[in-house]
Amino acid sequence: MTGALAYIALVSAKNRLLLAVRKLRNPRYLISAAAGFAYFYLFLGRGMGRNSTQFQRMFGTSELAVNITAGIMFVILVAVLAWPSSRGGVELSEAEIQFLFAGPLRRRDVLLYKFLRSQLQIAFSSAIAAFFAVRSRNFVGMWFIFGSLSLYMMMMEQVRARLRALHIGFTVRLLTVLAILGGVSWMAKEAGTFNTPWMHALLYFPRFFALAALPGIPLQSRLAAYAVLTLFGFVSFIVAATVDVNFREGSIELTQRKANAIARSRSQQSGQWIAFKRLPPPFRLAETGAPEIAIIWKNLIASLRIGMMPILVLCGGMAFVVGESFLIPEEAAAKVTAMMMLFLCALVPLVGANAIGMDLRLDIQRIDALKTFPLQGERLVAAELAAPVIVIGLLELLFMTITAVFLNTRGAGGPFTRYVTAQHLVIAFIFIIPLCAMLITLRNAGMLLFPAWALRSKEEPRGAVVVGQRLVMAIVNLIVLAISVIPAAIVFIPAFFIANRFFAGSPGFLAIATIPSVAVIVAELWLAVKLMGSYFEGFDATTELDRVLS
Amino acid sequence: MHPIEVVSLSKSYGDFAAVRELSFSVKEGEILGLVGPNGAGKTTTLRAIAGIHPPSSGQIRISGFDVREDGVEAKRRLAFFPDEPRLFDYLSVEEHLQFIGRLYGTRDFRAGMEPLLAEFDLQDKRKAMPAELSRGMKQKLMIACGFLHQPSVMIFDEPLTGLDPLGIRRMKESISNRAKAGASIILSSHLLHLVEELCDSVLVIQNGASVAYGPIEELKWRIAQGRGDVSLEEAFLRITNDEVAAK
Repeated sequence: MTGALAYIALVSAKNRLLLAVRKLRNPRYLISAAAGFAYFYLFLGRGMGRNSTQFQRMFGTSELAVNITAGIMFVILVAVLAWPSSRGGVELSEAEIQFLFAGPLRRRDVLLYKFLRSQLQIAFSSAIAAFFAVRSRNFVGMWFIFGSLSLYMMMMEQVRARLRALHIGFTVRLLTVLAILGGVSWMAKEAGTFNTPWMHALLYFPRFFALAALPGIPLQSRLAAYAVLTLFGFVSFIVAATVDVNFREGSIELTQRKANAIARSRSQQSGQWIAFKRLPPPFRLAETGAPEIAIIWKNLIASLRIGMMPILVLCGGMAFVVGESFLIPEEAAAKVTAMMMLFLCALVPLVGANAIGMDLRLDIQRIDALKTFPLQGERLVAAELAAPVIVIGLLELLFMTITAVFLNTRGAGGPFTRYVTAQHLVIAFIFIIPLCAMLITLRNAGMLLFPAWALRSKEEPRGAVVVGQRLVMAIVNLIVLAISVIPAAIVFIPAFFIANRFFAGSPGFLAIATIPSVAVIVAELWLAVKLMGSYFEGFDATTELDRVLS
Repeated sequence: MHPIEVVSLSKSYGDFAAVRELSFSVKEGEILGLVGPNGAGKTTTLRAIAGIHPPSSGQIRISGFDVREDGVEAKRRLAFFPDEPRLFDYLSVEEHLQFIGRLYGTRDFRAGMEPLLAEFDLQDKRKAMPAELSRGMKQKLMIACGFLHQPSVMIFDEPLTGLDPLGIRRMKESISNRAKAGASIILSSHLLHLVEELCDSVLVIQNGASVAYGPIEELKWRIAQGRGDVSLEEAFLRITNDEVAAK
């Protein structure tokens, strides 16, 4: 039986690995994985490597380094007792529950299977930890540590369940852990040092984790540490296999909770998680007129019912700032309030473009349905983009109006006040809306061009690859945004001089200077929507996405 | 000219040919059954006709409009009912119908909604969100949405999945009534007794290619020659097994 389980675990690990490698044959996965690893290396690995070198330089392989690591491990080993979960059992997949629990297997077989199955993940974690923490010097030590800890965690889940059966709940366990840690700290404080015999006795076992992990440990000590950790893992396994708990029921409950968490997370991503179900539509849909209005109406409803939370957070922020300005009337505080209001005004298009994604980003899951609608691609794309632009535009108008009223009536603006006129307000508004539309268009274009990155299943590559994908998308978004505003900036220079030459002092001066630039951005948007529409019409969900949407 | 005309339709994914040189047509008021083993290419064919994915080659015309060249006009006359109802989770039952009504330019869609809500037992659920509906109810809502704009061409992919016995009977009546009213219908199903009961003709596909096509009675007669009467199920098994044996 053990052989069969080991075979399943090994074959599954091999297949998962092959699947991940096969994905990398696709250039977009390869590029994103490379970008992800580079990101980790440049921003985390290099820093942590430098830290570890500094750590080594400071402490070398001194007793102090061993003791600090042993102390940390002691805290971890004790704190696990206070972990809230006390169901017993192990977390498996739904398929594993179905096959393993229906088969003639003992608890120890299931535990062994779980341990074997987790080896690929443990190896990966060990490699990452070894690479980033101690410069790949001690992968084996890391493996021993993670492996024995995983068995310890497995044991402690059963121990906590047993304690619960004995009516020793979370509060008692938490208090026990706090008492142990508090007691140790108090005794150390009383002694004035950690270097006491009883402290050495307490840290005697956790020291083996330090000896297995730290660089510069003599081979003999390291091998002894590996042996002790193996024994520790073995004892944990035996205890986990024999503690009197309802193992199957606990495993099923843990598995169900995990499945529910995944389902919840997916439904949040796909827009099935609706915060305000009963909010009425923003307007009554007329029976005749352009069909695009139906798409805008649908997405506005989605914005209200799904996307209301970020809107409320932003409005809450503004309400707080306004309220605070009435409570603290000092001039200096009013200036800070003005700055905060202006900051919120600038934040709305940026945050809104990300948070109010009730457009193709939400509908990509239903792209098959969209493709059956009797609308040309470009008209459908334009209608899809309209709702978030409307919502963000209205929010921005509200924020800018509040800010302008505040600056003009409370006299708080100082240098800002002279720019807060109706003329400036209109100009800012007509400039911000196309820019905001550009931001939303770019995000939707990314969704349409790289749908597989947006719709990831649980089995698809994660970690560095996903970080890489997000990084590539963010960089591409920034580059395209920067490029798209260059023509507008170029047009602005002659337009400003011409306006200055002929309309200086006129109320229309700013509008005349700005509108050509805005027109350029609008033209770019029109072109982008046309291209996206044409791409949408040829879009084949079956080949574009790595899985079939049913 | 028939409302549905498919000429030499092929669809490939890389080297894999999912549909090969498929040609058929559906007359006004006719129900064509599309049957075949799993992975035969039925759903690919239906999705290509509905304009969801472009065919690799061939022509698809809906009421004379080429799906590729004049997709909007073709889709205006078409309703596609996939096997898995994919609704908008944030729209209620009533809002789904209003949305579709406006999208397809249906006149008086609010008045048109009522008989459909009654026909599909959705009157009490008009304010319900999709998450509050059973699978069968979702299926009914999707079909009500499709019927709202009175399409002349309807494509059903496994329409009875998830329905209760009463729902099945009503669905069969609905499909049959639409055909009697002149709609051209393609119905794909593994339930061969349903196909036999509802359809006038059948297209059997295997490995993406047509292996039998024609009126059901004619097909059965051809298979049954000298061997007594056969059901469509038996005919289907003989046709597909003969194909496998021939290979």
